[in-house]
Amino acid sequence: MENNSDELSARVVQIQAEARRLYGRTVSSERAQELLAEVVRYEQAISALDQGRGFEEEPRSFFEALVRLAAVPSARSGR
Amino acid sequence: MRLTDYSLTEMAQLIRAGKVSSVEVTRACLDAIAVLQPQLNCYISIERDDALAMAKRADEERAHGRYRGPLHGVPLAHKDMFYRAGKVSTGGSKILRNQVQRHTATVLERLRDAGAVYLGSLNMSEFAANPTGHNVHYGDCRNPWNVAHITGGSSSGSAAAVGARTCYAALGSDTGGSVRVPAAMCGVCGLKPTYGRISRAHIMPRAWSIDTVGIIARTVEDCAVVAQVVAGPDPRDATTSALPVPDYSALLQESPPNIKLGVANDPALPALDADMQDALVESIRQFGDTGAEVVELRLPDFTQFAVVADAITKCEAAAIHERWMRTNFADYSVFVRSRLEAGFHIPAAQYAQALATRGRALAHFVDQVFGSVDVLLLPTLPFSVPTIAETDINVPKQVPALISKITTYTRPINYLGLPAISVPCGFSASGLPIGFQLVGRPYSESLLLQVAHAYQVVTDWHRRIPPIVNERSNVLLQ
Repeated sequence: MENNSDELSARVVQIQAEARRLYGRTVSSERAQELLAEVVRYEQAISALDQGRGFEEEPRSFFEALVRLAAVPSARSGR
Repeated sequence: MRLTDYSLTEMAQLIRAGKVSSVEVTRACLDAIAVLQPQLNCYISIERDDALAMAKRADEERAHGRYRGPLHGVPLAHKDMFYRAGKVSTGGSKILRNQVQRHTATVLERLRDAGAVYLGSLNMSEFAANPTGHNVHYGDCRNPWNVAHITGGSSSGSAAAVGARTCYAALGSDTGGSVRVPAAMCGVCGLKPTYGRISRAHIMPRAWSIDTVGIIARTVEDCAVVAQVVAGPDPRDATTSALPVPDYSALLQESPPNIKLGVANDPALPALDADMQDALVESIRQFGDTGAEVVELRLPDFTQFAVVADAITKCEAAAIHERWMRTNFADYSVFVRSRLEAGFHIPAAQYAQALATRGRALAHFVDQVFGSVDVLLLPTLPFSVPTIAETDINVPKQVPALISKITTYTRPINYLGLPAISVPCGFSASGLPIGFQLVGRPYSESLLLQVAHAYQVVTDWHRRIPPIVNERSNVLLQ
């Protein structure tokens, strides 16, 4: 628990440093915590979807899937 | 019947047959804009003289036997993010207010070549970053069905201008629902094509991995006409597909296919307001009555897709805006810059994972859903259209939840890159429009248009005209 709390505190400080470095703003601790909560939500959703992704999968596979799946026969019966 | 009350398809035929001139029609639209703009604020710029000159040229060409194409002489207007060489595209922002563009968007070139008249540029959310339609720089766009209510966004002006009968169709963009949401809120149709079906060359980006150009029109038939003109490969946009574009309009003339229609029965999805639920149930019943086999199903990972799509959008928006966030921070609305910030703090590896897992997510979803149905029917929105005051974007604390709720049913479709069309299907108790969306497998726009058109043949929601339009006078067709 304490480690988790330490990690979150470190990430809040990291976000404040990134804000200064990347877009030149000073971000309050409260705002950095809000941003962290948002980022963690994204990270969790991405990790959940990313489970089981194959080593060879990359962004290009999306374009290939779009074309490949367009050609699959329809579920419509008799057409 | 007023000239502006005809659909795009009807008006194109009248102009072609010489029953009405493009100049007359363009004047009728400009007159309608003059009356309604002060109340609705749909337009950022109105190009009266240029539009009339284009219309005059269209009439002269027709008189000499030259017919440009299916939009010959038809007045359109577009979201103010489609670049034109030598003209300003504001993107709804203060930052781009004076930036003259060097190139013209491919889609605008195609519309021009097909004969369309350009009436003006339409209001939109700042940098296409807001699904409510508020804009602090150019003023909020207002819903033609009730000016106290939002239009939805980010293609706010596109939906309001088409719904208010000031133009016959409009282009918008859809990264999280920005065509479908305002279309549903303003009682018009909104087609979001498959990712890569329509060129995005020389269009202001919101998030290049997800952005699509969309079409807003009063009828499905009208969407088909415009889609036919703008869809297809473009050497200036490497993400466009080489797959051939079907003849959408011709397919609408065929008997509608017997389909298996999927409807979500998934406890993981948010509940709908009673008005929305009733309208959706009635729509499903109508599809069943016209021969569709209705199949209930679960939607795997649907809510996760929305979060991951939002993460990708945030990362790419951060990359696009990084320079201005440093140099023009105060020129952003508080709302937009607060939305941009999180994108700077998402780890690069996570962004890459969000993109890398997309192909597998699409394949799984298509297998699970379109393995058993042809078309998926979903609500476009989970609740009826809120007021402008209820959705004040200057109250930052309420904004993230609001945005996530508005795009609950639309944003996942953007992550998957699938085509969808929002179609009007009723009104709430307070008289605001309701829409559903039909979603299909990649590049199934023709099937979606066929199914949606078949629905409009047996319903008249798309023919309803906002009271504000009927309160004004207009030119009558003799």
